[in-house]
Amino acid sequence: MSSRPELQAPPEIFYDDSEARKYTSSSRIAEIQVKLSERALELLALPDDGVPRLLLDIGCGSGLSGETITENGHQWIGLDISPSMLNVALQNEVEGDLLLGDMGQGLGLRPGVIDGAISISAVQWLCNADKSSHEPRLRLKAFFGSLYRCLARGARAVLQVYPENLAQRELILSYAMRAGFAGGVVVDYPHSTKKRKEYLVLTCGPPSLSTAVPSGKGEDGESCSDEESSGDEENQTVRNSDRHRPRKKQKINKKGKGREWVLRKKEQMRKKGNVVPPDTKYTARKRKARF
Amino acid sequence: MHKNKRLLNRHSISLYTNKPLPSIKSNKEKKREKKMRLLTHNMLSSNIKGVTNGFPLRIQVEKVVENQVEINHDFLRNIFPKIHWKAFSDASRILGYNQLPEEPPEPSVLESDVDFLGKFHHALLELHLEEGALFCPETGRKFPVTKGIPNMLLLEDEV
Repeated sequence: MSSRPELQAPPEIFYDDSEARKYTSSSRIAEIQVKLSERALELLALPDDGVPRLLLDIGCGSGLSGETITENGHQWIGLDISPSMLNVALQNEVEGDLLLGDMGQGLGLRPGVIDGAISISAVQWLCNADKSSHEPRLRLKAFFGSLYRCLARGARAVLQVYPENLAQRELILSYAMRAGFAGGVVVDYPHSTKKRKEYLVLTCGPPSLSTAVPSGKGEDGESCSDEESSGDEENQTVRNSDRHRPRKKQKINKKGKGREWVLRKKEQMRKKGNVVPPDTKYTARKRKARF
Repeated sequence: MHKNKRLLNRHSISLYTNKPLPSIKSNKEKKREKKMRLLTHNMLSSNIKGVTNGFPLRIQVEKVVENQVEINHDFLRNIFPKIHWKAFSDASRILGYNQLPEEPPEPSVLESDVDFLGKFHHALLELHLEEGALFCPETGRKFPVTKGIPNMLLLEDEV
């Protein structure tokens, strides 16, 4: 059986009472959720003027991400499809308001009222058809369309997603773009399979300077890896499209690979346990021309 | 946060249901009571297919809770332009709070009138609908509110 919850059951069934309880009892899950939501808030880049905003938390679950929003001093409204998870949120006495709803049916919100939206590990659920009436494309369209409408102009939405594969990411992104959003994917820890996290950073409104994807640093692969090694470890980000590592170049010059290279290779072979002739003054020495 | 929690048990004003009033809960349960604020009501609209104007949702009250929270003037000033005043003041009256003017006040009031800000804050963030229902203004579809969570799930033919 796959470890992906999306493949096991629809969200309102998968997140039953026992699964929901994990979100209060497991400190590991909680820690990851909090980290993800802190990063999402950071990417949301709300103006730093101390004014509380009204945010939307899509797939709020037990309200772990909402608590991060509260800590940052903002008001929020949470939406989730699982009653069990919302019950946990009630027990946790979260500050925001909760709605029981399906994001694939569109968000029933008035236009232009929300200052920003975050979503932690939720949007990939839309790619599954859990009922015969579900059509992933229509659900994605309804979701992104209604999200675009309810956000104020210039507001951002940061959606952390776990796409199953490349096609799924493309699908999600293409429907976001079709709804009118500008933006792209931000990938944290692109080289790690476990820590790798993807965020869709979407901006409401026509593309402009302010709508640039935040991690737009490093247009080519090389400068990007430079940034990584110099920047702090926590915030490594690379744009999805620039994720090509520079190929290792073999040092071959006119003289051949050289003595150092041969000695290194011999050392490697020795470590593997192979029988290697000893290093002498003849090792890697050029033959005379008359030979 | 939960310093001053009062229960305003009131008679159901619904024309649709004759449900008995919910019994008063024990103290321990009271603490967990959650809410739908008028802030959220003011943002919500009906999402049913074919409905052109799903706002504002009509409120049916079974139980209202008051829950004092700290006032933040900046937030109130920020949110004020987004509030649909008519729907907001009507809703506050349904929840039993009559202090708000019916006509939208001048934005300049927000700068100086602390008294008004207090009222606005109270109605927006401290009045909670705990039990009741919301009704779509066009189709009359009922969205029940239990434990302060409106159930906005639609049936398949409504999507």
